[in-house]
Amino acid sequence: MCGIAGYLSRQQAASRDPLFSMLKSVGHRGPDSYSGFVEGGVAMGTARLAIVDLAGGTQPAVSDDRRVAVVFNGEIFNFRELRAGLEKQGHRFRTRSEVETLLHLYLQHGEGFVSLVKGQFAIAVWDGRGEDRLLLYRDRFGIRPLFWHRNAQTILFASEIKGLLSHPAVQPRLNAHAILQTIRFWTVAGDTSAFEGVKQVPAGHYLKLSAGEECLVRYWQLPVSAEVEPLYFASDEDYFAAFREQLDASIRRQRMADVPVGSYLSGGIDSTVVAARLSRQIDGPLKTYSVTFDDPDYDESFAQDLVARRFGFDHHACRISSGDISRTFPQVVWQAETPLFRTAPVPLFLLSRAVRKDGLKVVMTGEGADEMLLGYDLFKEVAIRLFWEKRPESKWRGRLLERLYRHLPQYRNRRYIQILMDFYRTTLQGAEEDPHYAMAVRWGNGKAIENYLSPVLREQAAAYDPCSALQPMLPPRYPDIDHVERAQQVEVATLLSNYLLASQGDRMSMSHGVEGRYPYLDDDFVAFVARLPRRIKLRGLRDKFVLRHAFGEEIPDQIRNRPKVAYQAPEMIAFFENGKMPDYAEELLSRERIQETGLFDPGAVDALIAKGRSATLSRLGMRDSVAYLVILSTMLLDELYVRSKLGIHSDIETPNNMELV
Amino acid sequence: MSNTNSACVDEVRAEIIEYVLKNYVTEFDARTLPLDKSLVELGILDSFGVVELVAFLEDRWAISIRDEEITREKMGSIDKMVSLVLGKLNP
Repeated sequence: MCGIAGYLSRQQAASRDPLFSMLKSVGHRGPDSYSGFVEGGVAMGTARLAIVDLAGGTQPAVSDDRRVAVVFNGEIFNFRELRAGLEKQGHRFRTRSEVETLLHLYLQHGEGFVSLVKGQFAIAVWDGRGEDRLLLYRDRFGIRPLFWHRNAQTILFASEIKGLLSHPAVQPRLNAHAILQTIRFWTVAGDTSAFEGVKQVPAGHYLKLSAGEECLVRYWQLPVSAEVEPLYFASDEDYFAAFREQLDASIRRQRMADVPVGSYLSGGIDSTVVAARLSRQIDGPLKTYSVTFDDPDYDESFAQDLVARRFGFDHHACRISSGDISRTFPQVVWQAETPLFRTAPVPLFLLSRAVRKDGLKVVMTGEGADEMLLGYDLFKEVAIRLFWEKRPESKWRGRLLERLYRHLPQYRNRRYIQILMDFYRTTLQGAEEDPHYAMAVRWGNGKAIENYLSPVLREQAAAYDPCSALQPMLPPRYPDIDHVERAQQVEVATLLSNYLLASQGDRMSMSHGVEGRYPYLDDDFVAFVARLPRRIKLRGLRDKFVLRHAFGEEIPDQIRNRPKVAYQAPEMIAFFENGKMPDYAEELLSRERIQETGLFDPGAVDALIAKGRSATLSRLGMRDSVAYLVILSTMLLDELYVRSKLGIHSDIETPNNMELV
Repeated sequence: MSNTNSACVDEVRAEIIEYVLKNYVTEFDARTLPLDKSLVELGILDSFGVVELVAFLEDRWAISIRDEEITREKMGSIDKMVSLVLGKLNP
């Protein structure tokens, strides 16, 4: 819904200008209006994207005695029921807005009110009734972001790190641990951000801050199977019927808005089902948006067009070239505020620009289906490895992996099958000893990338285990669940929260004031899916079984049976044209710059670039690509944030005044 | 062995080592890179790297490696690769 920011000052009175400056830095998230609240030592406000209660939803919501104020970013899908409940308890409301409901919920229930709230949100509550206190809340999956920083005098918070960096108290310095985590996990973990001194409130947590206190409280965790009451139905058909009902209800809840809602269409089953079911609920054709690529290796337009035609969508395709990717990458890194291991955020950045131009503010997407319904190859891979490990000499067990990876270039040519099986056979052991057995191949690749680090950073890496940041995010019963479920928990805590919903999701869509809605991550829908038996989600090697079958003929065969194709965009190869990289990359990856910045090893980086310049294959390996992008995006963060302090700006118009409540 | 064969061994080995160090980042250098261990197990090559390496060997020495020779047994260390290549050059 918008961007939020604010600060609490111990000694000085808060004032309008620093707040306005922080809000302008997140103004792309809420280009409709700015409003704020300044009282004693606290200042907080929003850059607003008007979606619900267009006339009356000004923030912050402030208590009558002006001692409690609330700002929030996101959507509260059950706010009408919550408000009705509060009215019964005697609360009176001036507006029909969500933020006012949150204020009264806090006044009624205290800090634990968040357990009642269903939605996507980042909420900041200032409570000045006793000692000044700031409470920062984040939704269960981390859909909406929330960062904070404190020093001796001030506590600050903002939707994006940019908001914090615009305050004079915060000096941008890259966080070495963030780089090490990203190399290993593809993302940061826990409360880490890419900048030292800046933390994020982790998904499913809230933070209590005051002069003498800093307390992180977890209010929700993705349940493990043993913790939920299983749903028993007599037949698959019964499960399918329940699933249809639950997903339709989720879509109905999630499309709450006083403005039109569109849909992203990737060509895969997840977004196809969402778009198909959403279109049944609305009048008129559904507006859908897709990314298409010049490079046929990545393009999915055939599937997208098929779906759009079948359902009569008002479809828009955004065509992306390699040049678009390398040109737009710096702006995207600036938006993402964290090292990137893929270029996929770039097409999504350009897509949200197109959606904005079309006048839409809200889009539904298929994010979350792979995590909740076990769609990733990773889940099948670990199941196969465990199966194969029982009889490692068996050839046909190993060949199951081949079926899984048929789309990867190294598997397309049959002659390599044997040695690739030999490669995978080396990863079989460890199911008993390694708590993160499922992640062994991916994290092993990550460890190899540490060889690109400078000697200083490599020394740090030798003494630091990134798992220490991940551990607190995993459920206490992690050791009791099987490896497939462990992989699911890890994916939710890392890839989903800190990349798919963050760098690829919120940061890209909100860069143009477009809000994403995620029916597969709806709180009630997630609770239902958690109760479904494993075989309804992953049946043998058939992933997302219930999703693929519950809608029958309505979904075209080609989409229903399409194997998972990870959403990808041209990677490292997009940065090399006739052996040359774009100017900014030539400069930032030069020996001199790499040496000076001290994060990476100049010799190793040179060798990687030489490989890129002379590449004959149409794709480079994943390990090389990930290394290249992490290095380039980190050097860009250094250039954009540490050296130039925000050299790039948002490309959309925002107002130039702020209303005070 | 004749002098020609010994020279070949050193040359082939040196070139393979150079290729590996140039294309895959690792903590080893020309002196320390293990010759008798699997590059995959050492974490130097991933599955894609294996494919690249086979392509390199075939291109560099204009040899043809049979499908059934592309195995860990025949190629699972630098020493093994050297033997494989020499075997093709001096049949």
